[in-house]
Amino acid sequence: MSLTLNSVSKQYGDRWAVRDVSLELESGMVGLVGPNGAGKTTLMRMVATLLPATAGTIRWSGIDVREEGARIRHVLGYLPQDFGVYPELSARSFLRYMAAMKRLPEEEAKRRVDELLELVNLKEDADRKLRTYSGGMKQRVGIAQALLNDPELLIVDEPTAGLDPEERVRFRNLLAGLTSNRLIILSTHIIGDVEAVASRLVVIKGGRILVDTSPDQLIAAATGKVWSITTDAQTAARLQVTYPVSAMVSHANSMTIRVVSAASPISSAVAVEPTLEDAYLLAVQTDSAAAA
Amino acid sequence: MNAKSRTGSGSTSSSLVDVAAWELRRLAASPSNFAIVGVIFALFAGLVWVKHSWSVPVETGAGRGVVLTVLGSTALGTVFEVVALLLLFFGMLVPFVVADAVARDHRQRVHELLMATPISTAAYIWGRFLASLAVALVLSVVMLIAVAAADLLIHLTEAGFPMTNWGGLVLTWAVLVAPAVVVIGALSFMLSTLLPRLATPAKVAVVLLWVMLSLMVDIGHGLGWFGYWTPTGNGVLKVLPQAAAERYAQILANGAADPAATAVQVQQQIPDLGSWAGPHLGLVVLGAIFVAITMLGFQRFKNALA
Repeated sequence: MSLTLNSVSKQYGDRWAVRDVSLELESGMVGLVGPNGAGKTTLMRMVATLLPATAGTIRWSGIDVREEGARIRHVLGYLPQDFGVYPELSARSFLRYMAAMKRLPEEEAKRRVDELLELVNLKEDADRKLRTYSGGMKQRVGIAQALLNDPELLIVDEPTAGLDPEERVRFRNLLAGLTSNRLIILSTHIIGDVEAVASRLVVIKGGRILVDTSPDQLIAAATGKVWSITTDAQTAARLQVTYPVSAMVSHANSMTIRVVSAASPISSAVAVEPTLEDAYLLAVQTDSAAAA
Repeated sequence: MNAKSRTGSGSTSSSLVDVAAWELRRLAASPSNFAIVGVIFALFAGLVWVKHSWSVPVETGAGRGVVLTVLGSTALGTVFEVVALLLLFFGMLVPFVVADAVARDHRQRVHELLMATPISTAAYIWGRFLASLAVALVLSVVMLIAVAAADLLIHLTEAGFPMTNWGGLVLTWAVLVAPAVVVIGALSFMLSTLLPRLATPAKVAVVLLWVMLSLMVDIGHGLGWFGYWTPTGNGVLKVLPQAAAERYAQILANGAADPAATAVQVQQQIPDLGSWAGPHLGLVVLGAIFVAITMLGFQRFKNALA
């Protein structure tokens, strides 16, 4: 069970959305992170057989997704960033509908739908029309449909967008419980979503891979490059223009800011332990600085 | 279950029957669809109640003519009623019933979810078309039931108005209505599916085409091949009353005692629609060709930035 991307590129008109991406992914959870417009969704759609690559190949266990998309879709679970449901159906009926499209036998579909409604904590509301569901509940229906065929390759694209903090934590925990014996690609621009659950982190920007590492290694690479500075508002504002700032707390007469920088920005800066968010900012910022 | 075994077969793609059956279940889940059935029943029953007989002046040769009063519930009258009055309106409804069977998935943002399943393009396109076509055909049957219900009420309230001639009604449905539904439905389905962002203009265009076709015979462009091939079936309005009137005039000339009863007797003979059966079967084939083109032109993905 492996996903191999070999020099994959995608061009829309004059613009390269994805450029020369090569990856070898095996079971576990991979966080694909990057700013908005980095090319994450385009990359996910190509893996999910929904878009052809302009160049390069994508293979799942040796099978070319472009040439044999139908075979890949038997083992694929996909939750797009922006999806809808049939509002006139209940969650149970919608999942049964999707199970039929995924060619699950009737009895297996019934059993699997019941299991998944329990898993995503929608058993009590399963027979309510989807038009009455909140955004978070629809998102849970979305992940349930992606899991119907017990997929070996699960792709979730920005799954926590629009969810409240409690829903986000619940969703994260749900994904964390699904990692055994499958590859999960979690695409997000919210670094906190992957922090606790991904064993591997791929940072993408401008369609290219910036970093391919583990969260611990990314944090380790940022050690000694994150600074806490307590200063006046004017200095804080000046530093914010010059350096990436990952946090900012206002006090009565001062401000404490958290700055990401290879060197100490000012003499009063105190080196602090980096978080994954700091490390991510450093990686993205370093690329921007190099490009400049 | 390992990857090789689960990805090993492409032959297990979702069947057309599954797609169609689940689409029908989805449509049945919406109470508003049943309300539409009620509205259609009331609309067509109302139309028949308002207009259910026609005075048709017909030349019978050598400058002589007769006026044949066609009653809507007779064998000839059902053809006349459906083609001259009801099919124009029903044909305008068909694009709104059939066209969005796939385009709706784009609007409701379900398209991407479905395209990531093993469902084959052929099963998806044909399944969705057949489900929506079935709905349109059921509605056309509802129209006929509305006709019969209105005829029954008229029969009970107007002397000399016979009960519905079911033979004529079923024949009209089979030869003229069903093929029209297939070809108009398939054309609108093709346009909306291949151009989902233009689904509404596509439907309006098909409705305008339908109205234009309906007018072409009425404005006196003659019969010719067009009268047999037009899906509106309007050619029958030129041919069938003429034949019935000639029979009626002949019986009258032979000294029929009761002209009114004779007129009804003439109209109750099942009309000969044989000349339309072949061309309208051709329209069904044309509808199938439209759907096949849709299947070939359909893209599972939009090759553009979201």
